[in-house]
Amino acid sequence: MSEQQREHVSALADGELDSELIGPTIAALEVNADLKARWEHYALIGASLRGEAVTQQYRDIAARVRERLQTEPVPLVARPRTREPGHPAQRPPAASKRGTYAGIALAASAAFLAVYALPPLFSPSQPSQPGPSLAQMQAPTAPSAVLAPPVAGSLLALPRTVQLLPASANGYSPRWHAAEPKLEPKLDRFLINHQASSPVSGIKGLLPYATVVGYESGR
Amino acid sequence: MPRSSAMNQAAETTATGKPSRPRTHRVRAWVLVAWLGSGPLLADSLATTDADLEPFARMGQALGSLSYEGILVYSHDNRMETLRIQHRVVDGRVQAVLESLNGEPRVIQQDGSQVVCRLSGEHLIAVAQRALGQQTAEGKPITAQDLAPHYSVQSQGQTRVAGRPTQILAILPTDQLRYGYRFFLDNQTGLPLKLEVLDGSAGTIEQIMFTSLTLNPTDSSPAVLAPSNPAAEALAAEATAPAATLMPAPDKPDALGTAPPNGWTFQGLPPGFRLVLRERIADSAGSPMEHFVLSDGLATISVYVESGPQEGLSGGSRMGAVHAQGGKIAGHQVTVVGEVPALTVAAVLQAVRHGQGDG
Repeated sequence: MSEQQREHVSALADGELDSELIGPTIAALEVNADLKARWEHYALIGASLRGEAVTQQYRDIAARVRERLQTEPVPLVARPRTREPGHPAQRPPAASKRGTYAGIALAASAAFLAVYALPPLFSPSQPSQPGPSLAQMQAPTAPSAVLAPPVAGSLLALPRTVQLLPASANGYSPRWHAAEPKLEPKLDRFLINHQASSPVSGIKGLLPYATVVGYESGR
Repeated sequence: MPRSSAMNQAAETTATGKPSRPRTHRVRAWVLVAWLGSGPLLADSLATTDADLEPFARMGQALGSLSYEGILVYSHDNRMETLRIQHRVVDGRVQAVLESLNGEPRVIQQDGSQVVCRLSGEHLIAVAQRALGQQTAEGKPITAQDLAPHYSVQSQGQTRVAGRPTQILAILPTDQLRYGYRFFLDNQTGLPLKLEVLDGSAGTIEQIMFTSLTLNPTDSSPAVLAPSNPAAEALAAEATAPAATLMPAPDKPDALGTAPPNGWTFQGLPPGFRLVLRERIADSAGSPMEHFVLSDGLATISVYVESGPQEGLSGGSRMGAVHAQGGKIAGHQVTVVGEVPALTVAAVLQAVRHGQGDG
């Protein structure tokens, strides 16, 4: 897994990946276990923050979706049974490539739905039982702990970072006026980091975050 | 800062260094006009004493020690949104959740010094919050001396909010370069039950208000992540950048008179604003960026400097009372963000310099 691939996966889930890179990145997700694991890790984080049950079923979600797709017919493109006038015997190469990407994208979308919208489908035995928390599961390997615990008595010793991680690839509602939509995640990140550094935050608790949480542009 | 001193500073900044771009002159001229136009209000600001700020100290203590939950209404741009807050203090550790109840689902969770945000189902943002309680970014309580040159504190009577009697206190700006705040503080606890953000003419820009409040809710279980903070741990596990370490802020803004090691300076900042923090943080891809925090004692402005061909804001943007301004300086993407008027973030961007007089 190259750094570039990792960035592409991150950008894909952020909805910020250039269109010409989407297909190859999804294809890489299909064959690269490390990339897939990273993708699934994002899902775990999202589920944890939403307070949803986190079970081992979340693991290898893409593989299980792929297996499901392989055992069930998914007619992505209706192919003519017989050659008819005006229909070529085979799709032109470009169309074939699009079909491949469409299939991969569908599998990825199904994985997204399974992870973010339909978790009960993958834990039918315990539909209402809370699963073990992330803390109870095996901790993921951490190349470096950026969000290290604060050092007592020394606010200035707090290591700090800003992490922008994907949770879904659906549309993003523009909230920043006069800013390109693709820049909004970055501006949100800057704003929240700013609020965390603000003395005004100190005297108002979480209230400064009301803008971040509550603001609707109405556009 | 005495007015004459501030005027001298403004005069120096407009005449500092090499010939400036015409736009720089325009922005600075407007800054000067906005500041000079505030003269009559300045005398009031000098009357602010530390005793005037005692209710805010009590408010800070309440925010850091009380458990409560309630429904909030957030009003902006002739719109109204509903939020819910759950706030628990367990063994002195603040755990809180603030979530939107209409529109796009968004939630911010605080666990001690860590803040994790989920916005519109799109992305997560995790930061370590430094300023807790009534402290500035420098770790000092807000004092009358900090506020006096540019703000005045007024008591504006009593009223009821969420069925509870409150005391109204306003921190009003003395010019058009910063916002003011009107606090409605619960008489019994000191909690802010309503907060208004005010422009330089004391007009309300946005406000947030409790419509219901439950103190010491029976469910005293932690509202958010366990102390081990698994989500934050998971976020940390994703990080590939080396841990960022805060750099001590210089004692005086003048310390930037000579270029710091990273080569970034500020020349001709809006009156009252000075550098209080400089640090290096990492973005989602692990790329380091410089983060500068400027403050006038109450308002804060962040300046982010990214190296390399980063896509970034060009021009201005706004979300509620928050303004942002961005542009390229010496091949770097520079973005200014703060809960201040548009003119102020524009002036700060114009004050950013790289190296000796680069601009």
